[in-house]
Amino acid sequence: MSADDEAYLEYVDRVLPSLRRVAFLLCQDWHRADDLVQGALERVYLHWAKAAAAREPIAYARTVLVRVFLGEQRTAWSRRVVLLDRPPESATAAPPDVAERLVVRDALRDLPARQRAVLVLRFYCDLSVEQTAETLHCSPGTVKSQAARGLAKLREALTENDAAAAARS
Amino acid sequence: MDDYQVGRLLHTLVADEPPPSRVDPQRVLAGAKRRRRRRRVSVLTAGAFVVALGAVLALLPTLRNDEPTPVAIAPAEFNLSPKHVFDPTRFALELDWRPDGVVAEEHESAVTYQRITLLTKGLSPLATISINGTGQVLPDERWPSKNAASIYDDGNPSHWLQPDGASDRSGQLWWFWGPTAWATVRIHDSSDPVDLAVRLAKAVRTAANDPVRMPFTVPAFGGLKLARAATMSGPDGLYAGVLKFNSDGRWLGGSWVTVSATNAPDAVRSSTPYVLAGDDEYDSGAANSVPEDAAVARPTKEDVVGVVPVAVPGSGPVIEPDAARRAASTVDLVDDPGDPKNWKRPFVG
Repeated sequence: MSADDEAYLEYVDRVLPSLRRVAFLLCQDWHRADDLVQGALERVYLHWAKAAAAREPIAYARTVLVRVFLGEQRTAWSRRVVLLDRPPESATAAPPDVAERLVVRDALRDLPARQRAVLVLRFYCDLSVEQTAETLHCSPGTVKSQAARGLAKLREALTENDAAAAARS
Repeated sequence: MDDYQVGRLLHTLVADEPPPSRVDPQRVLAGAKRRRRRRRVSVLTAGAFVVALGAVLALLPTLRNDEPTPVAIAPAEFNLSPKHVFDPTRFALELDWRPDGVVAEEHESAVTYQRITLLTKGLSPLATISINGTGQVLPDERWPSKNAASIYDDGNPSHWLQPDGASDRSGQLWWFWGPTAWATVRIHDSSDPVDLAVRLAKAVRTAANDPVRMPFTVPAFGGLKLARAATMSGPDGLYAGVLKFNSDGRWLGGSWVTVSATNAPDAVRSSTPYVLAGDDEYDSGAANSVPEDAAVARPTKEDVVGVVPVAVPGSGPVIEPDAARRAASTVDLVDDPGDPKNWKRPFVG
């Protein structure tokens, strides 16, 4: 095994847990998240010299991951497969924090892929508007408008959930 | 809602320990190298194509004649976007070559795989060809294996596996038909099993999208979903159709119910009217049981119609014996079920 391969494997070990979580937030399915991560890491290897020289190696892999995700959305892969990890229907009311999680998850899933990517990059990965725009190949203005729309939808979903909880109690 | 709150909510979604990763760094590395090789081959191929096209255009006036052009057989292709799971009511797998002596075929369409079994005289299985959805299975590493031919001529060997102590007339060939998607050819009995397996693997095509048709229709079971559909058609009008239902329409990991019809009496066993080439009622890995009073068969003049609830130990069957009995009486065979042209779709509901 070459020194490059060894360095690459070390890199994969380092970035894998973080990439899987970002991928899950993007697609809400662990199986598909693993497929996305695998596809992204393969692409990283093809441009290993660039990835190894990047100031923030995780940022490089994350950018590739988000682009792989958006690319798959465009090719309609997500519409052809059946997701396997949907939560089972529960007959009893879930505890408040779990209920909130499910609401956020559902609301996130209902967002258009690009809006979802903006929220994940901005608020989970803590990227600035400019960094998010660079990752997504768009203008800072687009990031701001997409973030505002996505946040409005999340807010709406949580407000409805609060109202339903209040009505139940 | 401020930025901090949004961040907190997103973090809660991934706060729990995630399931074990299916991403194997060694496989990622191997996949990346394969991708790089393919890319180089594509560039070289494109260059060669341009050169060849120029040569053909230059020679075209001298090549024109009235001879018919031979039909070209497209080579097998590595599938760049294999499905994660399949629709059991459609069939993606096909073969563009079959060995001599095949008299019948079984086609099985499941959520997790698609499968063709080639049968010889006496309905003995010769070979079983399967493609699995992405990330579904891995070859059993306990078996010794050796590298076999590259199926897509991309330099990546397939793997020939033989169970310990097994006959040298049998074994399995494993290869990737797409990223993280395994395909297998299992040879049951052949004088040169590796050669036959490689030839069959190279004959595999995965782009079909044929609707599955069945020799019978059955009313839908409340709360159950279709997980598998299998058919067999053979000489002299021999046929079989098998449907498997369970509660989530995915893997048969729990209890399920089998509905089948056949006129192949040699294939009929005591509890299961028609069992595909393997010991299918046990394929979830658990020792499932057929309730004694629920193996219901409805013989007609030449056919046997069966409804069999199979239960995982410790849990009940997904339908009760009385419901199985009622279902058996409502399975409706098509006219002349031995002729696949008469088979129907949709077949449930």
